[in-house]
Amino acid sequence: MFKFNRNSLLIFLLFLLIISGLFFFQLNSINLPFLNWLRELFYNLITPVLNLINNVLDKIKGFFITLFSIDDIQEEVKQLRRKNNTLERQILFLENINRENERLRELLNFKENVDYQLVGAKVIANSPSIWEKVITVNRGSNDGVEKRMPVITYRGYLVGRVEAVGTNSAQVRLLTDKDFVVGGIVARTDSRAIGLLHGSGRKDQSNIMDNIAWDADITKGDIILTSGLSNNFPAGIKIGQVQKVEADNYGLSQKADIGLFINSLTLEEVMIIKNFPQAAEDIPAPDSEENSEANSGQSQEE
Amino acid sequence: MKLYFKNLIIMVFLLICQLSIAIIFPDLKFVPDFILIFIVLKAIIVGPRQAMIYGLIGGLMQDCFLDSFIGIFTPTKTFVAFLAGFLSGRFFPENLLIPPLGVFIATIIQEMIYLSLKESYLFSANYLILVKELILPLALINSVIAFLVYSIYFFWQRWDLNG
Repeated sequence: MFKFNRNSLLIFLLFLLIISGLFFFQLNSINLPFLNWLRELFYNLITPVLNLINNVLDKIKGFFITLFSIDDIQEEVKQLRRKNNTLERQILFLENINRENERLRELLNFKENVDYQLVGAKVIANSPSIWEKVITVNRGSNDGVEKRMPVITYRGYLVGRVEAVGTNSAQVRLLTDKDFVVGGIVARTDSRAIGLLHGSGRKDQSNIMDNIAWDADITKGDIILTSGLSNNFPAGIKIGQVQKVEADNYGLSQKADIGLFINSLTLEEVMIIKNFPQAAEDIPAPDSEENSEANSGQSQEE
Repeated sequence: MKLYFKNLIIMVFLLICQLSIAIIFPDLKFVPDFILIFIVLKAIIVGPRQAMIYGLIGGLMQDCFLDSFIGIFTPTKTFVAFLAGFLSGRFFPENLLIPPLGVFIATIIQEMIYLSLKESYLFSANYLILVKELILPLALINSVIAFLVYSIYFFWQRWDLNG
């Protein structure tokens, strides 16, 4: 039987003191290179195993799906071939329109649209805690992934932001995380209300968008996009839909419940926007009025 | 040393399970804390001194996948392991309900400490709702798993003794 005496207490206190000291360093973002190296070593050792497990599971799942739904797959292939032909025709048509668009832009001296460089990634691990909404994807610094890069789904919905990068994997903090904040804007031509979207920390609850002006035109059903006022996320990425609007701060502002689009999906594959900050810098500088607005937005979002 | 290494391998395996289970079952609402279950059971069996080391390693491993090497789980899990160690040798091994009860209480303590150390939850969270909707169900899941694991361990030990 364990006997609790002065020695045990001393050992425990010493142990806790060392850990608390290191925790304090970490909390105050004091960089300890040895700890970082150790973390990266462990992280880079575990993630290939996770990747392997994921690939094996995918193959097993794929085998059984093919085995039990061969007729459905054949039918789907037929439909996809038909759809492919239609889409090829549409691409030709759109290429003509694109050329015309470029020519007209040149004539009107409009600034160029930025093409984002995307890299597809597979989700290989989920969060080990119920409080933190973090996923691990199988792309890392070897694939050019860096911290703070925005992450979206294949449908173009905002997923989150790259938080830590390993050699062949990266951690993505999700939009639903309690620490996540992003600027949102109503996607309606007659209303461009802006606000700040906070993660709820739970998948079964909607996110809250607050700091909306008291007289802003925002109603149930409005689509919310990233505002792009800061340099953290590109503008125009779909976030969610307004579910409820109510007065906040005793009527001085409004807040809205936002149903996130990613909550309706199972996150299996995502896309990382690799060149967003660079691409944003490449855009010719807007006039001073827009610039000051962007700066104020950035400070708000941060 | 060999024993520590063996337990380290088990903990890495448990961490991989904890990280992958929600990928295999996407609709799963609660991910069991396998590392906590292991640490508490270990503390009950071997006492707090060894369990604190396992708590420290388990916490570090979990924090690695949450963006920091020494995060909140490192001190929390060490502390919980120390507390769980007090149960060591204070009950008959035949009493199969004590270890799950220990895991149940350890889960509640761990999550409450976590919430109080996490800035984003500390002042804005509704603790009553979080306890009711998240912490208690998680503690229940963990204790059910702990019951199964401890039962297997107990009967295996008995069978081993009988030869």
